[in-house]
Amino acid sequence: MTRPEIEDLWARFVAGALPEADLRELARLLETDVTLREELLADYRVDSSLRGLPSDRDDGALFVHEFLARAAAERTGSAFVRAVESRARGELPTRGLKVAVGLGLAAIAAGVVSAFVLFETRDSRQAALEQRGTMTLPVADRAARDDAPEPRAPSGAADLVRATGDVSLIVDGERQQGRAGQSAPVGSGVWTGEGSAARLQLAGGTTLEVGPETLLASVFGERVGRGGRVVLVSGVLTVGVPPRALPLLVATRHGEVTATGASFRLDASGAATKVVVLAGRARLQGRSGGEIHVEAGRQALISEGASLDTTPTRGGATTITFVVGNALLGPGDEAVRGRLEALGFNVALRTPAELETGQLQSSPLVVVSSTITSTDLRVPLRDLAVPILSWEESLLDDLAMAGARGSGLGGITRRPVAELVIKATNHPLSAGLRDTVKITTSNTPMTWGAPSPLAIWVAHWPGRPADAALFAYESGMPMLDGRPAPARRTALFLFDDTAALLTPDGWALFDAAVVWTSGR
Amino acid sequence: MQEPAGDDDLIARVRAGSPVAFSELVRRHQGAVRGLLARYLRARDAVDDLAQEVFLAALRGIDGYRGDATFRLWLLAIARRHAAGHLRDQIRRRARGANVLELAIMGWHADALERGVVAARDDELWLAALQDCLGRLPAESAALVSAHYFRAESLADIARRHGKREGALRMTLLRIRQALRECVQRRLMVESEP
Repeated sequence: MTRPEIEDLWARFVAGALPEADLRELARLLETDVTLREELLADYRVDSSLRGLPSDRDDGALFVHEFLARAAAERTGSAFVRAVESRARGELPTRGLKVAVGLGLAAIAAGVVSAFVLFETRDSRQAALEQRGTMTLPVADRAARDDAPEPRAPSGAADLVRATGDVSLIVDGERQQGRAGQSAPVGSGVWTGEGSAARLQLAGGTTLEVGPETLLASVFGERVGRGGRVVLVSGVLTVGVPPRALPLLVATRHGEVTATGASFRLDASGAATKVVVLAGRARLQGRSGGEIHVEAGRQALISEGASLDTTPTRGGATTITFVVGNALLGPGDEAVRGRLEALGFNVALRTPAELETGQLQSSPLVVVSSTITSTDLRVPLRDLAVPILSWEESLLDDLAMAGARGSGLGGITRRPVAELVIKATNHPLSAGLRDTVKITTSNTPMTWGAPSPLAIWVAHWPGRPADAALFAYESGMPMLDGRPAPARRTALFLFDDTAALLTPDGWALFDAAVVWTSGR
Repeated sequence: MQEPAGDDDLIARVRAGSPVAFSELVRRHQGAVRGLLARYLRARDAVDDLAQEVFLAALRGIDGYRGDATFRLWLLAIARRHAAGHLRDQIRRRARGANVLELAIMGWHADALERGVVAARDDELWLAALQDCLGRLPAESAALVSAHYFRAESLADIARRHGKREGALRMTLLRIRQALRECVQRRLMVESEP
């Protein structure tokens, strides 16, 4: 092979355009000719360097940030994360008082970053080369470049769009009370107290639902050319990344989860990180090695030393019964079925006429939609020792959960509504929400009931504290007829097509209802 | 004006438990570490992830640094070990999407890293030399490098815009890299002269 032929093959290989047969030929050639190999490997290293040259100051600052976040997640070398955790758990100084440098990740990160000029609008290396190159670029090319959007520096910030209860931002080493509408600067920490919750919105519409007693560190809404990154130090985090958003990376002390076009929940409260993928697909990497992809409806544990493996989000009897008015699902029932599947259930659709007592008794959860006609039910449900979640208002009295329609103890809201008021803020059914919560994107009729005073009153409609929008009975708790509930019973605010309109908060309440009622 | 703390001072503070001091060391040396890794690994994310591993290893092993060489050289030695390990691991896993030649190159790179065929001092100076040489490129070459490598434009797109053949641009880039390599070698020789 002549030198020009070899160079042509090599140049095509470096450009990623060499067929398999030529690749093998070139590999054989390099295997035997050491001098040629050393020369071309040197070229390959120059090419690699140019592709990944880390010379801009933005990346340097962000790299330090990310390193700190990772060190924090791994609890390496110092006790600063443990310290910030303990501080955040109740010992944080009062607002306005500086956390001592060295005690808090945020303080450290802020101290380091303040020495940098962050987020320059251009990469100085690229700008210098462009300045030189512009002199000889054709006019058309220059025009094309001028029209091209200026490379945007990521703001890196995240928006705190909801703060319920005791929520703190840790910014520049200071603990601040978190308020909805605030911007969490790059590298901020977020802490939620008992019964509290927060929602952060990142670039591209990615949302972080921060559960109670959770500490996030080093929140990056966006990184240069890449998506956001956040460290979940402890607690529970539910993430939603829209399909077209840049990937989000969530690091914990055990590993990392990366996803786009997906929704997943992480629980880093214990000795391992539990990851449940609700929708889409997520990539998990353990600190001690291994990588797996987890699909919707499956879960995985990331822990030190253990190999990664996925399991269905519910092992064994995973099939639940969803009772609907028509097997050709409307938009509300379709949305519910999708959500139930995303939560890891196999969903057996049944119309009332298809229900059999035996089948119901083996179901870990029965979900009853308001699209049914309750008089079509042939199977009595009142004493069925299986958890039931229902939003069929005509069934409330049959189940002894609330009064019959016309009794003034249950029905459909007279006026369309979109918000409800959380009453039992510390109950799992509240999903960590409190106060007035917007649950649908527009006003729509919904279900209400007036349960027993002994029931768990989770939420009511605004201005109507006696009209429960979400209520439940624990197993064994006396119901409206005075007899005990044979299993958990929950009445949800939905109506026929409401589920198609649910906001993230609405789905959070739905998920909480499914999880609590089924006892997962 | 107060002089910035030297590496030795910072290391002493790290040993006394100051994470802030280590953060400063990371800031100072991340460019060199990432630059070395970028020579051997092509994925930017892999470079950054491995660079973090290098600093974590350095943090864990800070007590093992005896000061025989500069802290940066010590770090780069760790980086070389990590890069070699990463490449071996990639080969073992037959890295997803890697073709036969890429796998072979990973092996040769790992060999070179493990045998220490590149002088440590050259590793330390190489990135700065490359950056210097980039700044000396003729304007047209600089424009092509900028478009392809820093703006990630495909050669097909550049060729279309400039009315050139893609194959010709591939060869032009090869010549530019060759010139850069020779320039870097000259710079390293000058630097190593007494």
